[in-house]
Amino acid sequence: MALPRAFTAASTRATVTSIYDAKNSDTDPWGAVLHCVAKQDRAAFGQLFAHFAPQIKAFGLSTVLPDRSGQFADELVQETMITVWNKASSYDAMKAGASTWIFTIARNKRIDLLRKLKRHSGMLDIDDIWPIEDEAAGPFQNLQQRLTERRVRESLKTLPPAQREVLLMAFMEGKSHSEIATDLALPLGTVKSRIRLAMQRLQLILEK
Amino acid sequence: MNYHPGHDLLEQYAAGTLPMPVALCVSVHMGFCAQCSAEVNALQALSGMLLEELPGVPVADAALHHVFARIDRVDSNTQIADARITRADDVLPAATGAERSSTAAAKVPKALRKLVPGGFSKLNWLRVLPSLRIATLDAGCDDYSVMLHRVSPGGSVAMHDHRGLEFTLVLSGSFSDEKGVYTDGDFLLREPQQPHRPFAAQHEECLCLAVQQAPVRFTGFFWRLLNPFLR
Repeated sequence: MALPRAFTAASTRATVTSIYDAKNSDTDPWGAVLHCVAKQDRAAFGQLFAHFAPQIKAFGLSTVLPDRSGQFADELVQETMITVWNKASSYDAMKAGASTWIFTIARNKRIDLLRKLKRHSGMLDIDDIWPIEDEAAGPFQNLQQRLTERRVRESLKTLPPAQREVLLMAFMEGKSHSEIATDLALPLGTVKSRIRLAMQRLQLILEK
Repeated sequence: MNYHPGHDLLEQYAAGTLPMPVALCVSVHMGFCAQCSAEVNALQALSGMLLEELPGVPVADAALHHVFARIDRVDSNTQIADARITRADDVLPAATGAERSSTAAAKVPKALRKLVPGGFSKLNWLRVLPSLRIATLDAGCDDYSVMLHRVSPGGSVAMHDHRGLEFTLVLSGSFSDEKGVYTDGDFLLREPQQPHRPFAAQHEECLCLAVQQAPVRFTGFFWRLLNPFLR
């Protein structure tokens, strides 16, 4: 299996110097909290809930739905947090940051709830298609991922507001590029290039 | 492997907005491709950070208690359920050693395991053309058909076109058409008005996952008669 070339080329030098940092100074307090939740620590779970539940609710509310009563968002908070409790013991801080992990759970629950709203059933399992964690990733990929997370976190701070806006619409509101174009009254090409520019700035685009 | 889903598809996959059958193809591809997996992992990390930065919307005071109540209610039933899952997993993989074809030997990717519970050879294969067998999978989706295509060694499928998008993921073996040669893990997207004529490699059978937005349309007169079989 070929290693991700662009990542390798771009960050081999960085890897050598920051391998120590990546292991020791990852500033992810929520990873430690999740570790406590894995041991059925209800106080830790309460902390995690106080921090993430309002965000997950906002994520649910941003979903384009005919019904804006907030019922969908509340259900999403419940379902997501119950899964966080149940799966906390399988969270691996070496693979992904706590917010990444919680996002994947909330995203899957959103897919699931939307599917139920549309009364779709079917045999396909959402967590099989969108795995919560990358089981195939080895130590090298895990390290790359942690370095990527840190780089993205840094460069996100300096992202121009217009680029941040389209990213929020694509990833939080789940809108297609053409829906974003309609909402912002922009040509589709402008939306696409904004997203491209944002991705380049965050160094998320890999050469293929 | 040379053919990957584009950045847009990976973005929609990470955001969770791709229709499930299309996400299925992307997911299976990622099992073959560390590069696309890394890109999706990075997009998910970005999403996690965007989530953390969302202006939070207060939840009801009782929400945490509701969660604990549901956890406690489930707890008493969990042990029984766990035991059941373990037993089901034990029974599942039972590999069929008798068959030698590459299809029988091909490992069922995790994303497909619910649709292909007993392995590829156990599916209900329908011979629709001399060199093509099809198994239709029940993905529970009206807008897309999800099928497995099995093309005999050296076999070809007539020139055909599609009314909607067609996603093809090579699971084992290889095939070629006017545009290239595709091997396991390759992800192809064909748009309507791109008629093509696939050929399987001479030495082995080719197994593909095929997801189509609308039924296939063969371009020749004779093949039009066969179209009902290719639903």
